[in-house]
Amino acid sequence: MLLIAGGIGVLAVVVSMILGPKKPSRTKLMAYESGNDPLPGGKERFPVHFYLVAMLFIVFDIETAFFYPIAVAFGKLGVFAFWETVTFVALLLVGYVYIVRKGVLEWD
Amino acid sequence: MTPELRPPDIALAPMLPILIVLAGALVATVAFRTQRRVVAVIAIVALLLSGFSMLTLWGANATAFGGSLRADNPALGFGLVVIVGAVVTLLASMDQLPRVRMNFPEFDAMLLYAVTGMLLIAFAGDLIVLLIGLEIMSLAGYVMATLYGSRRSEESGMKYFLLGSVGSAILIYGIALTFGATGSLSLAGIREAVSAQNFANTPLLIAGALMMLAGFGFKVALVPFHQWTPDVYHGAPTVVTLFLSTVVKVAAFAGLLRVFGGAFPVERAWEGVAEVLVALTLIVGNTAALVQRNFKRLLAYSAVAHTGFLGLALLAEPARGGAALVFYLLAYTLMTAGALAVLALIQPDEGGVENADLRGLYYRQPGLALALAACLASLAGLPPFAGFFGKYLVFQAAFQAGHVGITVLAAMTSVVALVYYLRPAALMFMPAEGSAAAVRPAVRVGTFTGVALGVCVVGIVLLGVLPGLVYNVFDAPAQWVLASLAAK
Repeated sequence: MLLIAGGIGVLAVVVSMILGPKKPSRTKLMAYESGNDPLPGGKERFPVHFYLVAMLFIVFDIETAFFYPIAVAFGKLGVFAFWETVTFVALLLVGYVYIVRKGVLEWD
Repeated sequence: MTPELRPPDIALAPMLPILIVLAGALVATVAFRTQRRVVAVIAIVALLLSGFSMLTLWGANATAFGGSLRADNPALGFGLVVIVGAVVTLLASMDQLPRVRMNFPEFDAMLLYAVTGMLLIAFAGDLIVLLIGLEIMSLAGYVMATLYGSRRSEESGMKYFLLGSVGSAILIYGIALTFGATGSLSLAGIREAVSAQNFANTPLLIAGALMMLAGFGFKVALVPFHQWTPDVYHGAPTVVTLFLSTVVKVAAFAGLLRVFGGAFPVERAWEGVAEVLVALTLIVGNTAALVQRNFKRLLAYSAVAHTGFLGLALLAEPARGGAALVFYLLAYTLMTAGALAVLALIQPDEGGVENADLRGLYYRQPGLALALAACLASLAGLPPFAGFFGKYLVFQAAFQAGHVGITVLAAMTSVVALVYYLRPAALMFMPAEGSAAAVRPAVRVGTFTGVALGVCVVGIVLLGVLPGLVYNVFDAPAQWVLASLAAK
């Protein structure tokens, strides 16, 4: 089974690679970047602030992803789940305090 | 109709060592405007408290979360070795980090997060807990490797991150296949399924086991998966190298023993592959170290070579090999930490020193030279030091399990090791007239580094003279079997 499954996958790729027509053009060979012309080079410099904002995003993203199901099911979950949630939020809070003290909210 | 949510059996006692370290990490994270020295002391206190709580758990065989977390004696043994290594790292970092302008509390926070992950690995009773621990440890490790603001350190962190992620990916795939074959994630469950020949199909299980072996191979630097090791260990700041090459390896070996000694002890099909990997590691690690001119890089290859010796213990029966593994890991941690702590002091920059520059060290810094000589002699496996008994126990365990050929190979490669360890050691005692190294000023050894070196040197001498002190504690074969069996 594994061999057949793997074989079909490999076959599909290899056959289309050998038999498929190839008419390369400049536009076709361009790296795909959502339809825009790709930015030159990969060695762009990003401001460090970008990463701090990304951390902020992760903190709140995880929080919401976790809170919606809890809010929906909260009536059935009981005391145990409440304290679990409190622990979770406390841990996230440490991360939040860290990035705020690092100055993520200071735009200048 | 939703099923009633049943809270898992939470027992705080077996989690306590992990929680204490985590609490220390959280404090270190938010400790702004605090001197790093204070944070480091807090971190050391947290580690010592955690170690103490592990001692109180000794022999209790406590479990939590339905056996997902088990604080049995092997777990505590690995945990205590991790604590020893982490404390030595922190002590060495106290004097060293200010000199290289890395003196920020994030270092301590990352170190404690890594230790949290390592303790999770050591205490893991199922593959998911193991994986989470491994990821926490690795992510913190990637950051630590890049902390020093140099091109080489960045390169080191990037390589570590990329290859570490590949290793994790392979490991996760292996876990998924093993779960598919046995229908269980807990080590005890897998063991039961494997020994009762009760699994879906054999190729799936073998593929899963081998992928897990490869994934762990990346983390401990077994030979085909070792390519990152020299670059990462050479490029990372020396104190971080100390941490990565000792404590991280201890945790990864704890995971290896948990999985391959615990979950697959009967199905020894993986053994043939592991034997080849260990043999390759012994040969490549030792011969590559032979031609290194940079001392830091030499120690990196020595770490690869020691992975080979440690791997021998995995090939043995877990009942014998486990005790030998813990002993060797403790000895390895102390002697490698000692050697790198001395290197951190005498290096002109974070690139380490050339072997030739060690010439005449004894006449400038007799104390440091003697400590380094002791560590190198122990790494080479010379008798009055711990390294000798580590090798002896590991060879014995592998030999008794019937791996005669590879034991002979290991003995032969350890003769090669003698050459590359003793060459720099001998250089230190030669007069340095006329060489560039002679004019370098002597460095002052700080109190904390002094304590760290003292711990290492006293440790390797004590373990070398009285190996029973540690070995006898772990020697009872029953506890290693129990570790792998279900205590449901």
